[in-house]
Amino acid sequence: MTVTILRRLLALIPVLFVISLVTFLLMHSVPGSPFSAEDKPLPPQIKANLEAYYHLDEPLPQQYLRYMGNVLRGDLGPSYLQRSRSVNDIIRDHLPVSFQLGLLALGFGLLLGIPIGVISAMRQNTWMDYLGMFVAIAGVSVPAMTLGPLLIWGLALQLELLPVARWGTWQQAVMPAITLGLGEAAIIARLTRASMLQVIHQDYIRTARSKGLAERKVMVKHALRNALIPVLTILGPLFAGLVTGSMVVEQIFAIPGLGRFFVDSVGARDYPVIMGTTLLFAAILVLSNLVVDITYAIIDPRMRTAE
Amino acid sequence: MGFLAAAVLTAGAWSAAQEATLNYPLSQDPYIIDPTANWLYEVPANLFVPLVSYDFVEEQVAPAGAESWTVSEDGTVYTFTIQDDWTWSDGTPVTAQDYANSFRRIADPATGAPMSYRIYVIEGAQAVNQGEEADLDAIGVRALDDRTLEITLVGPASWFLSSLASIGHAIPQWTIDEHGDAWTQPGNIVVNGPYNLVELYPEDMSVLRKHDGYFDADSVEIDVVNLYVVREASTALAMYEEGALDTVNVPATDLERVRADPDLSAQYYNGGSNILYYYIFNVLSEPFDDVLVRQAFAAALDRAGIVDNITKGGEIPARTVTPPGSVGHVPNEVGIGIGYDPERARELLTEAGYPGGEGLATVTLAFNANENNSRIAQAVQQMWQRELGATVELQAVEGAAYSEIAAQGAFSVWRMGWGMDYPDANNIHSEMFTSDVGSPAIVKNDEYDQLIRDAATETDQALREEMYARAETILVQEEAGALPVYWSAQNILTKPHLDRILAPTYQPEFWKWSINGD
Repeated sequence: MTVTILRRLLALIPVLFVISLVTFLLMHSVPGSPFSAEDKPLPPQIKANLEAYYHLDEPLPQQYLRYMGNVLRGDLGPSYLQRSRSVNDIIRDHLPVSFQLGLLALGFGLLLGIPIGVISAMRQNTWMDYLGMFVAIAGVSVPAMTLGPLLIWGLALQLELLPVARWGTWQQAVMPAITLGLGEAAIIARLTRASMLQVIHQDYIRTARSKGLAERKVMVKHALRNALIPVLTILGPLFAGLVTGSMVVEQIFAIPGLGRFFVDSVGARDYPVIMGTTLLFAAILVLSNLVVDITYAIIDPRMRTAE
Repeated sequence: MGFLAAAVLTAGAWSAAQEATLNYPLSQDPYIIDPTANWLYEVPANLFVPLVSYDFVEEQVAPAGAESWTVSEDGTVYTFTIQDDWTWSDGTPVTAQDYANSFRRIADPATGAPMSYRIYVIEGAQAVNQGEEADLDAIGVRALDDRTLEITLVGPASWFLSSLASIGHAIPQWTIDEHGDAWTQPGNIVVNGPYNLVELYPEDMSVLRKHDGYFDADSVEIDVVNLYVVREASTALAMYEEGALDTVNVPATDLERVRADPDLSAQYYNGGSNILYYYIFNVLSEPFDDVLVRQAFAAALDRAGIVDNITKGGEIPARTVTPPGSVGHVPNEVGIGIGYDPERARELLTEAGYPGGEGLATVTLAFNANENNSRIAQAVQQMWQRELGATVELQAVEGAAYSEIAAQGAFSVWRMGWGMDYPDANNIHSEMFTSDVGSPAIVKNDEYDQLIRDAATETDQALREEMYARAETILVQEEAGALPVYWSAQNILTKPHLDRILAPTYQPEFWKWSINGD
């Protein structure tokens, strides 16, 4: 097991290297300079000063080598937009917030999604199934841009139960976690239902039942455990997506997360931030998949011996 | 754990209940606090002091860091007397040299200050900034003694004094030398303005606290300013309604609700601002390389329709570019510019060889992606299709690189905005529309360029007004290179306990506001 983990971690290095090269080439092939405000294109000489300041006047290969050299020393470079902050600062300040938000949203998604999926499967084609799947479809269909303001209006302004926005207390985390997690809950519910339906028609379930086990025990101990494997599989990418794809939710609730840096850095051509966040996303994706694989081994004994 | 830390920080911001505290939203993070490294934003404007300020109520330049000044007969040498009895937050006295250092740092190409071209009018600044002169002493800003600063210009410039309200704030050079780019971090930062920056959590909040060394500290009433970064305008409004903010801008989508609400309408203010909303035609490609087509499209724009039915915030339809309140503004009533006249628009289009829009190339109308721009663009698209038979494709573009791509000629017509940095037409004309700006896709006209250059150095104000009127005629009518749409409005809500300035200022001046009844 340890060997497997180590091997997977080592494999991360060439992956990140290739991603860095592709990202570097792509972002430099897009027209536009990091040094233009939306409403004030800069005079050429001033742009030249700024480009010289950040070594952007050097040939591309040299820039790439300079960048990678710094990355190997753990320095992800300055942010052109923020000047006094480095990409290291940005990730250090904002990743923990996005990580918390992502975990809470995923937790909400699992707590809501799995029971709905299980109940829908067990009561297939009854009103409970239809209701569950209706909630699931609604969850996927309502965008955060709509759900967020709706929650603010209802829970914060009308009922005065929660604060409108910002981050720091558990009260402030409720609405963002729901907004971000509802779509995930829907995906998890549908997958759990489909997977459960497949499992409960298999022979070993019939065997378990014929042994005279209680239905509850059959479902939870035998069926659900196997049905959760496909759900686990998507949790890795789902979590990576939650951590990095939270821009809209962070914007609506004024949360100082990392989400917007993934998007804004591209529009602003803030090269070091684009590189840093892209590499970070890749690392998070690979690592969360690794965690999922480890979890497989816990849930399914057969996988412990494989490899 | 991070959770807990954040909770403690938030609690800290709310402490000290006895002090007059203002809670104010910022629509973006105060990225760059160094006033010599960027255009001016809310935070540096409250930490550092420019030589002069601009009084929007009296519409005149007023003392700030300089208590008085004189101008030489030929209009090229300005001599400022710096305020007395004034210290930096580390106890160092504020001197004329601190101001000289500001201009040196702005001009220094190593700083990479994006707005450095705004001081090119100062002797030697352009040569230094463009690397032709390495000696910073060549810049015509000199401290004659601790309280006397002399600025020498390359020629007379009657707009120069008012432009100093937003550039050239004194800086603590010793702190910059010690900490480099990190000198504006709390703990490192040294200020001389009404407030000091005591806490800064990027993308979240910062805290300003009254600075007692400021020369006019006695008249500063608000002790603590909590600045919250809230990018979503509707969220800021919800926070205001919740009581977490003391004043807020009302987004267009909530205007009707606010005006109809008995409580909110009493806290509502609507007034002018100094921002122009406009389009630019790309003269590099069809169909807008033809002036007749540009004029036709301009005549088919129903500005009143946009202001009355879409933005609805009290904006003023604009036929010229310079906003009201600035020297060189030409009111609509003067008749310069192209008004809404669909009949005339169709005639012009026929004259250009496209009767009924036949044979007209597809037009791409680009805008920086946001809801307001999108709704206006859709209306303009309909107007041009309805009146001219033109095919208009809309293109929403994300990000700051937009203006540069557009200026290179990526779209047929594109949306821009301009907020005045100082109340003089020279600001918008010279920085946006002349050939010197170096935007290939913007129309070029030698007479216009010459007028803007001449008006910048002309000292006779009446003559300047005439020159700007002529320049506007060329820009928005004869060449029709720019298509002004409206001058923006301010739509503000203020809690009854806050007394704030509502006249259009370039930046919020917290030191002039007060909290009562607490």
